[in-house]
Amino acid sequence: MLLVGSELKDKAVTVDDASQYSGAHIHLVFENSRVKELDPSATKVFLGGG
Amino acid sequence: MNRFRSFIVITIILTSALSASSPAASQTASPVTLTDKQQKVLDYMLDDWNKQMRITGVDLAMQNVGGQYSPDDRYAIGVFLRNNPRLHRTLRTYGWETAALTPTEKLMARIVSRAEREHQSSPTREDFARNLDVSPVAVTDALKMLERFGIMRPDPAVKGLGYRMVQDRYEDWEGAMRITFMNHRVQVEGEKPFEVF
Repeated sequence: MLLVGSELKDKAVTVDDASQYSGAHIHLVFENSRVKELDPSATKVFLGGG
Repeated sequence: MNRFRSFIVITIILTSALSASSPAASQTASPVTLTDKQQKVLDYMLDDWNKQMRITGVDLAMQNVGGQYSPDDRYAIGVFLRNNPRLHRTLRTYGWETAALTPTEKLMARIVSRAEREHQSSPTREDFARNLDVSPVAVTDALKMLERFGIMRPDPAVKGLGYRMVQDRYEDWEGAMRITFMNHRVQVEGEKPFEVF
């Protein structure tokens, strides 16, 4: 997220990750540091974190 | 007869001393050299790790380099990373495991290690296939590779999955600067994907 908010702030960026606890897949799409897609939709995004 | 016996004993002692001092005896794993195409992947990774926050693993590096690569290639490069921590600071900081394993293998190791830590039962292979949205064959392949790397081992006493973590450090891997079984994959539009810590 740190990269999305800084070095990649002007780009379209897709991040694939997994829940720390369940292992469920998390898919995020950003454009210009703004969230465009969230799956699952309940995902909380903290830009600027690690 | 006594002279002959003494000769035998001396010969055994000398043989033991020589084998103990040889480089092969002092290493826990057999030395691994990379093929040219494996070296190409390693070079790609080392270059990637020089960029900010990058830790692209072998699996994705093989895809990005292109060409035909097998699980055996990934294993060879993974063992090379394990045996050569001086290759890069990223390797020394985060460990070879996070670069050698696929996202699916990391997720499985993460879930099994947590189950062991919390004295819960591990998910079955069917649970893993369903929850991680992969085929049962992919689950079996992941377990085999985790076993091959010495991270998990078969244990019939573990009901359902039949595997457990090999070492305590793989049960208690979480903490500051430890991302052993974490994976964050990033794709910037128009560029090749990469992984970050």
